[in-house]
Amino acid sequence: MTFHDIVWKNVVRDKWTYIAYFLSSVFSIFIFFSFAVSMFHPDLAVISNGSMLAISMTVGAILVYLFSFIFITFSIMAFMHNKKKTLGLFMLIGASKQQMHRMLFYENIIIGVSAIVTAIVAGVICSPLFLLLSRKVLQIDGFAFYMPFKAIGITVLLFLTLFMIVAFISPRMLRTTQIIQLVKGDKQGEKAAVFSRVKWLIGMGMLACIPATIVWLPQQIEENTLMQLCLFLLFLGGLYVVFYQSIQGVLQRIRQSSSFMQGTRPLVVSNLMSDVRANTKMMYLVTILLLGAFFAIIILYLFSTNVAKDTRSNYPFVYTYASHVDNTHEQQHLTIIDDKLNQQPGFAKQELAILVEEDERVGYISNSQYNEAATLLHMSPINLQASEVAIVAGNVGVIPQKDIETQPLDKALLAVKNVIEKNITPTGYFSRLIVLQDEDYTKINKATLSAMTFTNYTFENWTQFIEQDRALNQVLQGNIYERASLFSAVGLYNTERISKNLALYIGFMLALIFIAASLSMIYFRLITHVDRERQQFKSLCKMGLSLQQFHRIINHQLAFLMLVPFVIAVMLVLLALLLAQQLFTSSAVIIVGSITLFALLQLTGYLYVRKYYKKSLLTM
Amino acid sequence: MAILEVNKMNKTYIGKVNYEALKNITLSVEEGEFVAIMGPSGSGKTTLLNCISTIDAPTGGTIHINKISPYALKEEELAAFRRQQLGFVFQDFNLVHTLTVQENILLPLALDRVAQDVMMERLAKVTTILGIQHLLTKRTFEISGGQAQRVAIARAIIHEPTLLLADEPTGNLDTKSVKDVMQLFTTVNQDMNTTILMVTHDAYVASFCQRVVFIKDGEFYNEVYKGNNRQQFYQSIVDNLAFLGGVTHDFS
Repeated sequence: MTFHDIVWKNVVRDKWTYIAYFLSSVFSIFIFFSFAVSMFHPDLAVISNGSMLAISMTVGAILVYLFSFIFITFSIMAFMHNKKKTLGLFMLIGASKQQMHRMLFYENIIIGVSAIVTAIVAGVICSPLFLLLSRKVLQIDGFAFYMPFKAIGITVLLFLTLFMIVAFISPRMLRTTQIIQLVKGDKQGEKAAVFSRVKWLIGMGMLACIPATIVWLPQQIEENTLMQLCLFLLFLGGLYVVFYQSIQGVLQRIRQSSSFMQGTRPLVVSNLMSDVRANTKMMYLVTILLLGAFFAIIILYLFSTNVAKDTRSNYPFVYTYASHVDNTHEQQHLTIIDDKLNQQPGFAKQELAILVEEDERVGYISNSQYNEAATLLHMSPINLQASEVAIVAGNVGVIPQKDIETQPLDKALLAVKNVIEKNITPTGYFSRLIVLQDEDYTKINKATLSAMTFTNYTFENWTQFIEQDRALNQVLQGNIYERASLFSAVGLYNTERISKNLALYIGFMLALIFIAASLSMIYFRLITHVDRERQQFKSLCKMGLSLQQFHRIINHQLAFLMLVPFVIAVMLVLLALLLAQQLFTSSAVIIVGSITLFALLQLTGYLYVRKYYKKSLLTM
Repeated sequence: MAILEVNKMNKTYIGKVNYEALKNITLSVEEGEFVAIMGPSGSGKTTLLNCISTIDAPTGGTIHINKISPYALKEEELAAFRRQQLGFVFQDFNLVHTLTVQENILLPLALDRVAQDVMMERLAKVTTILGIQHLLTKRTFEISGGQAQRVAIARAIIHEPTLLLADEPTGNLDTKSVKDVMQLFTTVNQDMNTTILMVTHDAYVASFCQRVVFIKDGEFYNEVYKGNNRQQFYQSIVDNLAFLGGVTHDFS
């Protein structure tokens, strides 16, 4: 028997301790590999949107990799804690530090290599399915199954490096050279922690800073990445403090109440309190993981459902042909476009003559023309008197400036009557439009202005127009000169939709990984103490604990550990969505729907874990 | 030749209130001796043993085992020292639950990279002495407490240590097993000439030794030698314990 045999047996015979960690690692590697398979597909070069797929998949893969790194490091730390006693024993018998390091290193490598192999085998088997998904998301042809050697290579390389790094770092976490602490590791209870109102308030203050800064300094947050990071860290820190102190507070309050020594309550509470640090840490991490999963899915889903609406607020008309007055091909182009579109149901066309002040990118239109366009867009018409103007936004979501300085007209005459926050021209083309009364419009000083015509088209079912849009683009391509441009909501919609779908697809995969990781943490927490708990319940049963009471204790304990993080995560998601309300009006149904779905998943997980945990406590 | 020499050793635990667990302990154990340390709970027995075991550093004084001061060794040397010179037996056996009985026993040799044939030879020798040949393929949770302690003793002596240290080795055993295990310690002491230092609170267990050292409140209190009559030896141990406020045990 050699040292290697010992290490090998130590892992193989202890496989149930490692199983959850192993499976979550396999799952992460599997997802990474599946992204890599799409990323390196040989067809990618020839298909349109190929680069977008490659970039999205790379981003997804990097996120998975980063997350795996954190998850694996964390799990190893937890394992080290769990195996303290064995490690101390080995050192006592005379294992040298070098041997300890080597043992932990081999252990990690054994698990790592088996996880990589399992994940790649599963990945190759499932790769046709993933390629099919990629194909569906991108709505492309081809993309057939292939033998992904490159993906295998990169997965093995990256994850082997990852496990190597972790395997190399982890023994160094074993700081305590005092063997006595290691040997007694499993018997040392945690020091009882005390609830501190001051700390709780500090934590709440940290959390309260976040919405406050968002409300007061929205501009800075949007521009400053460092600030975003700070806010994120503040959130993580604050949440931990509040979490820890609140759980302390609640448990201590129950303990001090007069009805504490009633029924199974003292057992449940003291059980939770005995490992309150470890429990809190686990619950906190599960909350964070669930939050990650919820946000990934809900936000990306909301984005992907609003694509049509978002597209039309960027490009108010389905097609807009913007032409300068000196564009000689205008009639030719418009005929081509008319021919393509005029068979569509609900077809409507409108011409908008705009005078452009080129430097400031301000456009001037007449009241009657504005009303024509507004009617097509189902906006209310305006009625200006002489010397009155209305200002229309040029960009989506930007309220136009009210002051009228660069005036080709006599400015003393003008008063701003309306400010219209919705743009009627493609976003970004103008900084704003100024609507003048028809008569004033004719009197405008055209010297500094150039004339343009915007020909707008709308029709129904435009989202189904993708094929024809492609054909139209092909005809006009090379024919459009710099004196004209065509804005196609259909094209924008299609690009947006594909990228949003891709984001949703990747977000969904990440959410799955987060949920798997959170379950693995709960499993790990339970398996760590299953022997001790079994012993305890055995002796409690001897004292007269009924089976019914046993069930009650476990139900309450697990409900606390598993459902509290879920409820908190849901509350935080709802709060965040409420704060960002202007982004997602009218999506309450979707949010409630997805939360219900998550709740069902979580409940199933709870019932399942409960059943098996009880079973493992009752056997032996 | 003195195998173990402890000279004016102190151990103070630093905390909110400093606590002096051991004060000026001086102790010498000769080669081939079987010594018990006794004293009431909290008297510092286990702390003394832990200090000698090199797992809990003393705060003052010196310890020499086989003329080597373990706390002066470098980390790697200390590990090798433990591996080659010391053997440990604990109250709760401390077997590695992922390994079989045989693997547990061979663990110190594996760590020391001893050749396979030497391993098997020594395994055969210790298992014959301890009578556990039939258990070798079992896992640690498949054997009884008495058997587990025998396995632990086998693991502690397989590398023929200079000093065997035992902390309440019978604390978790039934009366029959106590007798068996103590007889095994005596056999190991006599047949293999292993020096043994044992901590116990049980006068009956201590009566298997050649000398008993009593400590009280972290200080040396008294010592008793066996002489020729074990009954008398037991009686004087019990008398000493009575002064210390310990308990007596039915002499069976």
